[in-house]
Amino acid sequence: MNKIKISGFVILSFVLVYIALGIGQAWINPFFPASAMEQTILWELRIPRLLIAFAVGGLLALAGSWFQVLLGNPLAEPYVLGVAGSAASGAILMLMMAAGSVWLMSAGAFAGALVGIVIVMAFVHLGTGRLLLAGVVLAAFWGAFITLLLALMPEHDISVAFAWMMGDLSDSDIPVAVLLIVWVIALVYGLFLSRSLDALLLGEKHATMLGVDVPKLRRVLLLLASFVTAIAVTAAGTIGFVGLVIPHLMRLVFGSLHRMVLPASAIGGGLLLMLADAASRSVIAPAELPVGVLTAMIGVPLFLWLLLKKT
Amino acid sequence: MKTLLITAILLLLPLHANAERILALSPHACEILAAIGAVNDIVGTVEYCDYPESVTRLPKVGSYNRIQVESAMLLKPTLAVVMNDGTKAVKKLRKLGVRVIVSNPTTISDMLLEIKRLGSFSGHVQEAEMLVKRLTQRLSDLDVMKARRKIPVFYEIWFDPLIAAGGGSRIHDVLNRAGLENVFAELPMEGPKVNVEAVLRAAPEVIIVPTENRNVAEREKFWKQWLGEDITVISVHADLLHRPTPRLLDGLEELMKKIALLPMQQAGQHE
Repeated sequence: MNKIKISGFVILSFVLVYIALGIGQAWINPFFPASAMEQTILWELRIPRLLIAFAVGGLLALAGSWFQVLLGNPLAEPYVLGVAGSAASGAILMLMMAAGSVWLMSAGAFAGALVGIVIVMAFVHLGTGRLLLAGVVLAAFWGAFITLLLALMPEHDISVAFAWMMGDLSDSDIPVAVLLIVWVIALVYGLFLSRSLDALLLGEKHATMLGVDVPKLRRVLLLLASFVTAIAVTAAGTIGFVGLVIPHLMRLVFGSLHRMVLPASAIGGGLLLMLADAASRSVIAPAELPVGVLTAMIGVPLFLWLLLKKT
Repeated sequence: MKTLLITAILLLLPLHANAERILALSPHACEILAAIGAVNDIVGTVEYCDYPESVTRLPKVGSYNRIQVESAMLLKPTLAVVMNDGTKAVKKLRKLGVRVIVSNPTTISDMLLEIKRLGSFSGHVQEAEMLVKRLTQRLSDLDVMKARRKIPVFYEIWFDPLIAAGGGSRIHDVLNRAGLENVFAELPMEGPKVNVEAVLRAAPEVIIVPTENRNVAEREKFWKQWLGEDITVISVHADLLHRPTPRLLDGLEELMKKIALLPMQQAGQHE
């Protein structure tokens, strides 16, 4: 059964990659570009961009699945909990204070993500409802903080900050190769933790009984999720709901064991963001839509549906 | 005695009423008012009102879309020229008895009409008419310089994210005046976000980069990498071209001169 699902997933992935590569302002056959210009567009514009989308989407989905275990809550996700917002706040703050330094901006995003997660953690023991409320309020707070920065910022920086807030995959300050390496490391490390994650999903007591050092696992997950969120936000700005939709979908298809969920999410998240990016380039071409708008359009109805289903 | 006093006051009143106390609440309003000799009537400006020199010393009351009503009212204005009519601050100014004029010209022809309009509102009709006459003459002089062939150009409003000038934008009108073809004319937005692929497909022959907070040499390198060594990248003065003021014609002239000097243009004229 699983073999059929996996082969289906692989075939679907190839089809989706083919579509994401082909569509745009005009269709390009990925195997046979018709002209030298199409060749350039395909290899030097679309492929690097889709690789950024793949890595960022995969990282967001991984972060989402970790958050869901860490907080014991299926609706947890960096964007919903305001962690993407706090990471963006840190990054935009550094953009203002030290313009042009990618590493300082990444450090700002990382520090921001960490602050965001630590605040969220304080609400975990209060249950799903309060946790989500805290997330909503925190997201509003970080939104206001970013608006404050925008008000203080010189006017010409605003379009840069705005692109950040809505997600922008056209180029990444972190090289594509680095993003892909981070994707691999995050996935491998996640797989290494997958048994402990499965145990923690069943409850803290259960996990302790199975010999998992729960406090340590939480600390590791906290750092891992912050790091991954920070990298994704630095590369592409805040893009919501990939981390929510994908792990859910993958659990539906492959069950809840993390040795399946994590790789499937890392790939599925990448594919979803690739498709969203392809759509953002195509819908009003030659102009572009912000990709974060599209993921929210898909993600919010799904999120609400999940909320309804739970109660 | 009482009657005499009242008469004297009534006689003096029109003199005071004549000179408006103007809030110039956008950079282009400052420039136009200064150009028609109303600079002494301006009592307050906003951020980025930096031309001419004489307006920079005036008190500032916020930015063009975020006006501080309190500091504005302290200047006892009678007239306010605003760019964005929709804000609450502007409504408040109106409520408090300030006459509000909305000014947001999107084409050069509109800008000329705007000069006349601001002239009549501020009581500088003659200066305004003379200025418009001069500018109209200059425009028709410039028209002769216009390229024979409409060269397709990409105007890079911003580079990260990449923003083009849409069909409805002020820059689009400027490009038209210069006899150039805006490759993103079909897009209805003012500043559509585009990408390198869209620019490649639009196949511009010239890239125009405004010298506003960016390294023109770097942008030139960037575009040569994508469009080949043959692509021409020229830079223009952003403050001149981006504001609907008399100085726009300086910017237009600068742009047209640079275009006229291009090899492709000179080749075209020999035909």
